[in-house]
Amino acid sequence: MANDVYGEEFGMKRQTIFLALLTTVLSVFAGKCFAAEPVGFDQQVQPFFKTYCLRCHDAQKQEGKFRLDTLPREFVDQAAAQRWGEVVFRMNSGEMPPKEEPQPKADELGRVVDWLSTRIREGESARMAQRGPVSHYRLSREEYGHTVHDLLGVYLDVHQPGLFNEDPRWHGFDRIGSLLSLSPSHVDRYFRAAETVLDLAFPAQQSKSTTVRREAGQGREQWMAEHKITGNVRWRLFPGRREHLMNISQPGNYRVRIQLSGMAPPQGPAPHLSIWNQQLKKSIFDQDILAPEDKPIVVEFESGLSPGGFQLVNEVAGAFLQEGEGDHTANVTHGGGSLFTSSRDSRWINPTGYMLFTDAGEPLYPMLLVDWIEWEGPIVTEADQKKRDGVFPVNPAATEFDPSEIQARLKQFATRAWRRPAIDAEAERYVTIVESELKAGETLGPAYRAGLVAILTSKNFYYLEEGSAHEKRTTVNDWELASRLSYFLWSSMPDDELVAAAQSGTLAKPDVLRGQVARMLTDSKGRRFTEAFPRQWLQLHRVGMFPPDPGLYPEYDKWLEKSMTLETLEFFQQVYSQNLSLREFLDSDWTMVNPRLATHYTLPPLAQTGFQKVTLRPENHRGGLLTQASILSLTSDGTRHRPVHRGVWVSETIFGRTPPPPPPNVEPLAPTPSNKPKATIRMQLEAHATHATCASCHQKIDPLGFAFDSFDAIGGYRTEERVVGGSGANPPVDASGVLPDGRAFKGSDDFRKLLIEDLDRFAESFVEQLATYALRRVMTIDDAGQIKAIVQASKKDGYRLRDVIENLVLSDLFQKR
Amino acid sequence: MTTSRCTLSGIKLVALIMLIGTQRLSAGENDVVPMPGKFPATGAGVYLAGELVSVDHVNRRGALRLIGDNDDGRYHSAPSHRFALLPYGTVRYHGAPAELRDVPLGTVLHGMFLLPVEGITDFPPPEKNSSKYVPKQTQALTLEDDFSFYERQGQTWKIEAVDASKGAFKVSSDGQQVTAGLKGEQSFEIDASTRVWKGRAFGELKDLSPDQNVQLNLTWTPDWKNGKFHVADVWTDQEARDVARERQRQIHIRHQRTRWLAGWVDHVEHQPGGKGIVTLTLFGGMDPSLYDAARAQAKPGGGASVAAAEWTLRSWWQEHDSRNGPVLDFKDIPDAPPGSSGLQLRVQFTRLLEGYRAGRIIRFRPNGFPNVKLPPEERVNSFDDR
Repeated sequence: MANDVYGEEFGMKRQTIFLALLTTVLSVFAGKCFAAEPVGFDQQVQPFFKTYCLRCHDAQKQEGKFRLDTLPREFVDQAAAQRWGEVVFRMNSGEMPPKEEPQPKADELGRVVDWLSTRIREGESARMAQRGPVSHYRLSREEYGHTVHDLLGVYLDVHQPGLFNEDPRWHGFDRIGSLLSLSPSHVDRYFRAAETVLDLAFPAQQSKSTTVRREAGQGREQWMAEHKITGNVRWRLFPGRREHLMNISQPGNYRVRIQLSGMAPPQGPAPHLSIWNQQLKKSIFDQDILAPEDKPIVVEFESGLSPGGFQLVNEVAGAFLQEGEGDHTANVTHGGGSLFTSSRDSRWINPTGYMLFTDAGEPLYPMLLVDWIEWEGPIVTEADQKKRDGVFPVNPAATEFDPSEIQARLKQFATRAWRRPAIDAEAERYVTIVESELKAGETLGPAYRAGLVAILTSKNFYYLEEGSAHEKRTTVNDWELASRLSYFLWSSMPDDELVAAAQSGTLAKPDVLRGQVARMLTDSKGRRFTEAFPRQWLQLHRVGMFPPDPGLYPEYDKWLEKSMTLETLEFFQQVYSQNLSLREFLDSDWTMVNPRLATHYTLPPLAQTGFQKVTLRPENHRGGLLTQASILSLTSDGTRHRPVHRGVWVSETIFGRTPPPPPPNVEPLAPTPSNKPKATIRMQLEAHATHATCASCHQKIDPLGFAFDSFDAIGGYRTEERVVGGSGANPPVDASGVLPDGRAFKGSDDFRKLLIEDLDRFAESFVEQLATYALRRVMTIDDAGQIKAIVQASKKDGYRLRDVIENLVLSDLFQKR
Repeated sequence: MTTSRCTLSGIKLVALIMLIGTQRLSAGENDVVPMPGKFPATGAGVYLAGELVSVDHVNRRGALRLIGDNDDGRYHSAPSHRFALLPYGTVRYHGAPAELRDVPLGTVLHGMFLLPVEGITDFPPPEKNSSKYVPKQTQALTLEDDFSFYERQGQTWKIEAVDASKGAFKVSSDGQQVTAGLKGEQSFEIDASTRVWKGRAFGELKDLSPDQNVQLNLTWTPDWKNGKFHVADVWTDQEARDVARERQRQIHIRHQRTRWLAGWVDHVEHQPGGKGIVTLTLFGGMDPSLYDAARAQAKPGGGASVAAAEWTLRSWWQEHDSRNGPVLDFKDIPDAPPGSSGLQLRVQFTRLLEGYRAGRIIRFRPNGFPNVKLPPEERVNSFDDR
């Protein structure tokens, strides 16, 4: 017995010892793995520390009670990373080493700061990418909107004030799971959004779709007859003119048709029709219009509209009637008893109004002449209705119900909404909610609706969940893969076919997955990807963040700003739809412009409205993304281009490399005094880059920005820089430079050619950004190998965009948790 | 005053500008048809004279009872001769520029008249029964009272005899003889209503004496059928005539400074962004000091406002509706045709008005003239006022 006890004890001890040993081994192993000395520290940093730092910050001496030699080198650890950040900050600012101590050379200091900054960033990425047993990725508000549309056929304007918070961004991406946290405010908003969605999908009274038409001559017939005026009356929208022509009382999807002419003055911009929601204070439709006075066109579009008044606006730069501006003559031009029938008749009908057309009938300004507007809705398509069928009980007015029917319907809805099978126990909770509502005196309809609200406010709906609490998984399961794929390419829930593939358990098979990707890439919902990804990757949200000074850039307006972004999105869409190479992003002999941008780029005038592909010639000095006005303006401020910011943007977006942060308290460039010769920004920067640390970094960053000095703050091409202040003539632009590797270029044309030589490097950066978007997390050093594999797989096909996407989806990385 | 509401007359006229703006006038004929944008040639029109019997001064229209020619038919039934002043038509009263509002009803006026503007039949409206007593020439190029008419041509009246108790007043023309109008020996009526102007004061009938050189303004008398007149005013000396002239000149200047100088657009040069240079010519017949004020604006910092106006010279809300711009330069055209001042100016505008088109009427305000709102009955307030 004793032996047995001893033996048992010994056995237990042996087991304990084994476990202890195992733990020790594992911890050592883990220590080796996770606390390993970052490669390069001894070569890059340690000699520098020995020479310049450790004399005052080692075991013998701790100036400022700070010891550098024992500072932990685990950059993943936030506390350590913060301390290293402080070290970099002190060195960067020139505070360390102190002035009386030996000073490092600029390149020495630059190398160390660069190395440490890179490790700190990698540590941050690793922290942001950390996943527990279950990962939660909250839907962005854009994704929420797309999801409720695909779930219930509801058009929800997620940008309407007060509905949702703006999602936080990380380097432009607004779908990074570690940033999309949940606060009580979010829960409250999700509740209200769910109510709104269900109101729209299942209104108390189904409103009938109606067609309303307003004609410009309505109500003027008698007056015209009395004054012997003939002809069709038209609303004349001169620049800045607004006509409140449409009212929507029921929210929903509407088809809007407008007959109008649009005429551009000689060498002037095309008129631009904007339909302005007065309540939300935003445009719901924008288009340049080109159609002769006697040959109007009909513009038609569909949009989800919320209740309110809508104005038609001719929104172009230099409008002489701005909102709120009291221009008497502009008021006379459209007001009182005046009306417009033709450019010829208007000459005598309203002599005190602005002259809008020459004697020859040419417009003096971009002019819109609107005949009528018609709107039809709210439209519920068969496809939308089908999404709603079966969600509600047969008889919502009933006071009694069949619990099994209710449970079945709720379970079915939850399965769709949550993008994975809901189990009975889950459905039962919602049946309980319905029952409690009924007990409180509600009829079945409202009670059931409460159950639906609860499903849509469940975390299972607004979170994408990956992983299992009770099972360690390194890959996503089929349901998670389906969601990952659909939110990547459609920004929304999986459709029936994708669900079926997930349900059958075959989705992860390469052939099945390849087939699904091919199908999804050709689906019209792919447009969501070509809208969202380039917007986030290229940080297009920054376009217009600093509106240019109207005194310096009078030609700039909101439509030009919007057109800039649209060019980039249309360009991306073209590369996507034609499955062109990533090379096109670096340089191309084409781009996508509308009449407004054609004028801005001084391209030949376009004959048609809308965005169209145009061939670029060498004299245009444009091609690829980097010479697009959106990119050139988002890297500028309100008054001038910013070569350094352009350089940083190129470094981050094209080469996937974020330069170290600038030193603190950098003196801004002062305006050139009036008694000094005018100087370009480049000349001023070069005069100021005297600090050793600044110089080492700027040598790498600035050339990437100087290459685009031939473009002003709004992307206009120039040969001389317009300088405010200073004396003498504006100085000529110098867009030449030398890359850190020694390759020289004369300007942006040369620079783009050099970029193409770095296509592999760009492809790697692009895949990293694409994976960040798809996987909703920051890529880490651990992902580098798989990213390289995707790049390699894509190279043989010439880095064609769809192939890159397919290679990403079929990669191990995409299915890795 | 009777304000005629001829809704479409102005509109049709402007439409006509577009149709026939480039045609030329035939000169020196009685059947001259005025063309918008073109001044008539020297000598155009027919001479008519008569007593002013009605006035629509706002629209620069009125009617004359043409002087008698011993014709019983005219005496018994002739309608009055309704006329409209051409936009460049001038009125002179007491030897100075004037407006119709300055001329009392009953004053005999002399004028040159042209045919109606082609296509414009609204004013004067067509007679229901055409009358042989009403000339076709309804568009007045000039209107002058006797004072202005005879003095301008160098003709005065020498008093031959005066008998106040019998109301007899016998004169004979002196100086340069007029080709049209009264000349030679004439007998007029006088009585206590006759105003006698002596020096800077009122005179009396007893102040009239033979051999005085005077100027007269005539008016109606019952024997008008036979070309007889009553004397309304007599200016007995040069000082009296100068006082009358200067007072009227000041009335005219005051009026024009607030109503602005009338003219029309010769040419518009369009520039990018809706800008343009408007070349305009001011109408003639105004006081020279007003033209000097316009010329004086052609300097750095100088400028003018230009308001669109109608054929009747009426403007809208001129102080708000006008646009202001620098006067780039001016040109004095020699031998200007009737109706024209010969002063042509170029004004730069950042934005143009519909009314700034070749042939269209404008009102020109040199900087420094009052920028005031006109009385409502003078303004064009709506489409119906045109």
